[in-house]
Amino acid sequence: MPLLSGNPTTYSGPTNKYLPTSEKSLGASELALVTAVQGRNNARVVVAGSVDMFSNEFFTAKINGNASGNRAFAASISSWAFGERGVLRFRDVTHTKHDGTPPDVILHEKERPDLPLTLYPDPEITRNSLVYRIRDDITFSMVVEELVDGNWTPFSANDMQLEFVMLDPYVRTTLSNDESKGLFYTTFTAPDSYGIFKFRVLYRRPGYSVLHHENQVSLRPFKHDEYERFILGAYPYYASSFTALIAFSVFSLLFLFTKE
Amino acid sequence: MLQDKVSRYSVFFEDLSARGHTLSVLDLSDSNAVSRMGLDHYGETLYDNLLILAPSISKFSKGNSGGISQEDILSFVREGGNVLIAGDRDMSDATRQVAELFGVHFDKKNFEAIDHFTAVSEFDTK
Repeated sequence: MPLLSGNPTTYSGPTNKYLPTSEKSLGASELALVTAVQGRNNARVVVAGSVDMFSNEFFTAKINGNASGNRAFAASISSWAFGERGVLRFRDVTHTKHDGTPPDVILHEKERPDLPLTLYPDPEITRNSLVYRIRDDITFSMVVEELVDGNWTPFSANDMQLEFVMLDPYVRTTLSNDESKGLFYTTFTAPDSYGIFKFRVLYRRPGYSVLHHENQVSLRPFKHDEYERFILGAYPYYASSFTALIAFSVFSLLFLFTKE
Repeated sequence: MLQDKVSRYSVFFEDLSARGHTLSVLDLSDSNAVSRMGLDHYGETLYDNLLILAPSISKFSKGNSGGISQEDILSFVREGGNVLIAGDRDMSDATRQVAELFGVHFDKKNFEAIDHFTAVSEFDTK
């Protein structure tokens, strides 16, 4: 992204002759005097248009009586480029059900004392198989910190999003921010589809390093005793079966005990 | 860092050291030092950051015993190292190619960004 653009009157042209109007030159909106690039591994490259910008004579020059801002500018672009500013990290990612209970672990690894030790036990069990149920209320929180002056201080933003993804995001919410601790949290309801989901936080903003975290959980369907006991749409049938029962008893009493 | 005239940038380097960076300067006029320089040692980068302030370097070549080539700079960035590159009016194609690796395109030689309206009088080259 361009870090320092020229004024609207800046253009690119040869210094030793006038530029004929027929030749194409880059205007101020396409040109940048200093550009910055950040790779996906958060490596940063800053390309400055002129090496004179860092020279001693420019640092100490005065323009219309004011000192040039070159020294401060060079300090700030080099501190961004060398990873002293705009670097984020996260820690303490937790997810629980809304009332604070942790998710179930349904598959436990079986002890196999007869088999040799291995790094790859039962393949059909995911590591830490944490399981939530569909339509559970899930609370997710993480702490994000930013490197400021050599110290990791809490970061605050109001546009960090959490996605709950199984091939496509089923839920996407903005995380609320507790600024004093840099804590980002939210509570959402798990969707109706069950399967293997992941919590994904992907935060990419210009000037900051990329913040990406993924955390996998399973979502299970209802157990047979977790369905509703009485279904609203079945009330007519409940009513009809009980009235049939009562009507039959009344009829049988009437039939047996009235004289005709 | 790769450097042409070290003394010209001394204030900048003092600021960098004051912020806690350890600087090791490679003066390009010293060809022995150039051939012994390396950015990484068996896959691990030796430095965290690289400053290339020598825009007129003719070639980033890899000599027999050392030196830095463009692929070295690319793999340095791939390992997570940061780079600061500066150009100049008479910058060479080698520097231009390195900048293009990162998506920055420099204009033709002898082209400068000119602003006739806000020129500073003692630096104005007319």
